Amino acid sequence: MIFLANRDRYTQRTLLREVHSRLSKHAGCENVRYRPSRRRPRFVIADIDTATFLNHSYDIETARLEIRFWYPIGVDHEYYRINWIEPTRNLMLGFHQDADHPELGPCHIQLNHEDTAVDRHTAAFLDAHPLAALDQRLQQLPTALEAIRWQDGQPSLSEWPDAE
Amino acid sequence: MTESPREGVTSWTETMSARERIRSVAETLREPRSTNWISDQADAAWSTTSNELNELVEQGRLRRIEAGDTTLYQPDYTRLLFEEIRTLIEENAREELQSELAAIAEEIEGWQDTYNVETWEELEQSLADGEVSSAEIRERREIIAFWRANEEDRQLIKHALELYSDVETTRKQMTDAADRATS
Repeated sequence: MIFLANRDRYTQRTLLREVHSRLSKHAGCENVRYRPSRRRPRFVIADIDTATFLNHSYDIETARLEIRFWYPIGVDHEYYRINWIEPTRNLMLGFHQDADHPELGPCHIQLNHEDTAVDRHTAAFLDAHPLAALDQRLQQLPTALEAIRWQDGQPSLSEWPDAE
Repeated sequence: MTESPREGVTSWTETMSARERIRSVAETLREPRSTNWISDQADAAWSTTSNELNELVEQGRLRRIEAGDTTLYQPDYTRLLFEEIRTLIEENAREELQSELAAIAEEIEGWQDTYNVETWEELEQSLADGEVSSAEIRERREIIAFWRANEEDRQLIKHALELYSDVETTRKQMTDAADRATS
């Protein structure tokens, strides 16, 4: 059956459902949904009550998590983007494991402000199952958010310690 | 590093049982893996992992592979495929599946027009074009990934639509039989 040739696709759909289920059980995650649709999942998105999610008070009350996993052709590990988005400050902090910045290695952390990348640093490549990698990245989010420095209304991420 | 206070983002070890984590990991494996690897990834005890994997094999959800002295596990991909189709049928009206096909077609036509290509393979070939900027390459890579995923989903949704009537009829027969049995 030729359609089994793309078995990664079923793995990917199953994986996104697991991500959806994981976020749905997570304190501070609300309105967990797929984009563009449940029938055609590409991203899992959740609205975040930041104080509950981070378990401490935070400058901004609400944020959004956007998670995408995919399997590119000819690469033996998954790609992902785990993005924390603050619409009110037009800020995005994300762990990106993809082919976009090979000079930084297979994975990097990126800070965007006003839709422009302001900083990028190497992040450790986790040779892990996607769900274990997701858990680890979510655990690192508070540290990453605390590492953001604001000066004259401009954020920066001067360093990222997890670069092994 | 100073000691961090007990605060932060909830781990999946707090929201899911060890067995749930083992199942989640095992059913989304891309390649066969050992009990050790799975227990490590799921942050679960080896014995719990071993028991759960055996149970999943019994249920037909996983396949056991003997590789030399090592036993490895992988999902039953055929089963995954049929479960995807079943989920699509159970969760969606036929019209919803049809409109998803229309949305996929529209998106692909948009890319065909924008890049003046017929297939994602053609778009992939354009990446080797020395005149394409690095930002443009990144954007095209994104489109290729979404385009491939669209094609694969389209095939899955088509399978679901082809089986829709048969599944509906079977379900109705089951409901009728259950009604007769309880009345």
